[in-house]
Amino acid sequence: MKRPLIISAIAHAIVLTWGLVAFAARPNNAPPAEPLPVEFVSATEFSELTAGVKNAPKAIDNAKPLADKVGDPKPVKELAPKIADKPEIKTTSTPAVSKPEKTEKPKDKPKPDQIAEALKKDQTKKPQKKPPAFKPDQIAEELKKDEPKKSSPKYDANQIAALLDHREPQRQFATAATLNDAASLGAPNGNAGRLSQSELDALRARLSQCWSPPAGIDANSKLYVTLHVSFKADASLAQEPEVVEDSASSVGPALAESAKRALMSCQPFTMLRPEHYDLWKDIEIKFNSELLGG
Amino acid sequence: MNAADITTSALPLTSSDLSMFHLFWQAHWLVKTVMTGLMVCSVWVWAIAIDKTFLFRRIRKSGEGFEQAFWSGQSLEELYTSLAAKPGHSSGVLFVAAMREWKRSLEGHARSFAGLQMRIEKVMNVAIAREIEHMERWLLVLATVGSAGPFIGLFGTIWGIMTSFQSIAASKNTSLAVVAPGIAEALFATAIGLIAAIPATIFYNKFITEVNRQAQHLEGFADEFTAILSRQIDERG
Repeated sequence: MKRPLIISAIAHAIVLTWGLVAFAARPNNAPPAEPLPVEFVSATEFSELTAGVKNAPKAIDNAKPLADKVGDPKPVKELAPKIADKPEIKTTSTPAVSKPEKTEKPKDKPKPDQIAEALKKDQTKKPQKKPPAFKPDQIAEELKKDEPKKSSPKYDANQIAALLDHREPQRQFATAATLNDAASLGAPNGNAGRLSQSELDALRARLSQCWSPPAGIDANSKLYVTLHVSFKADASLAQEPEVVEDSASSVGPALAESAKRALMSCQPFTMLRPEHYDLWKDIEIKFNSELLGG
Repeated sequence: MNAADITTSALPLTSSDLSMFHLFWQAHWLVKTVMTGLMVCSVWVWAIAIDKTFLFRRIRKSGEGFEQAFWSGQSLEELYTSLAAKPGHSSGVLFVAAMREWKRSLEGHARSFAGLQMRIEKVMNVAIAREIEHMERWLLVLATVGSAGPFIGLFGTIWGIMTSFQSIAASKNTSLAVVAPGIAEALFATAIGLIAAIPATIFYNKFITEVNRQAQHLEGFADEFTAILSRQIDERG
């Protein structure tokens, strides 16, 4: 039994040393993924982005419409090589449209002249043919015969070409590939203002006066309710406030009711200035223990 | 913890920290004990396996040689004198035991044929039992390691995972860099348990089958030999 034991021990030692070499953990060669920074922009922050920049260059200096071309767009060879600017197809002063008329007129004008000459010929011919029996009725009949000839314009197939549009086929761009990114002075309504601190404090003070919270809400409790309130222009409630969010608690409904009652009983809120109506037309008010303390 | 912190804390885990040696060395002492025990078991199992393989090969060879000699028509007396000093294994031992009893009964002055057959049977049964006991020796170790090895390894794993969870709780950080080494070392215990248990189970099944085959063979030979001896007794008696 001794020999097999030695053989076995040696074999295990060999396997273990092999394992030490072969089973060393190989770290992943893949480079660690670059962390991608993601920033959350709240709705208010986003609306504030529309606020203009006071020291922005004047729009006249680089007066380009926002969606105007910045560089020359690539011409498409298959369609037409020529690219015209938009103003060329103005219809009021028409240098382009008048062209074909000019070319047509010389060909159209001869027609009446020819007819007049024909008439003259006829008139000169007729006296020659029948000089002795000159009857006014006959002249009238002759005239009647000639008249249809005068009025019907000659149909000439060769002149159809003159009616065609001789302008070269062309494309007109709507927008170029890149947009003009010049900053503007700001949108007219992009003031993105806020209720002033004094207005907020006044509103808070008023609400804390009016609010009688249900039992179980003291300065330490973390219960809250957020109401969405719509105001009319005279700072009274436009409709019954809606609960947006409240803390999960059995007191929750009572809390919301008391908050609604406070809002209803205290209206109108005269501390909200009408010139800022846009700002307080729709607001969310959070009722919590802080409001109680303040 | 931001991404940069994770990468810097993950960096020190180089290949050397997760080698087999480090996995063993960083483990809890209990897990270390389990691993060492299982390693010893593995060595022991393979030693037994090597030993038994040689043993059965020897038994089969000597058995074949003996039976050729036995059925060759050679005189049993001559065979006995040639084998008595060194009976070898299995059938040879049986034959020698039976012949010794036979000789003693004849050598005695009082020829007691009455109980001779029964005595020979008894002697042969004892010889068979001894032979089988010799063959089955240590096989119980194989059976035990085969059945208990995975459980012992699993115990080490559970313990390692417990400590790694404690380290998560202590560092308040669930990044893989904190959890991975503990779990790797824990799983290493199960791996060693399986490494010890799988060969043990396979060898145990193999050797038990071999032992049963040998036992049947011996009993068959014992019956045949008893029949021959009984014929002799009847002829003499």
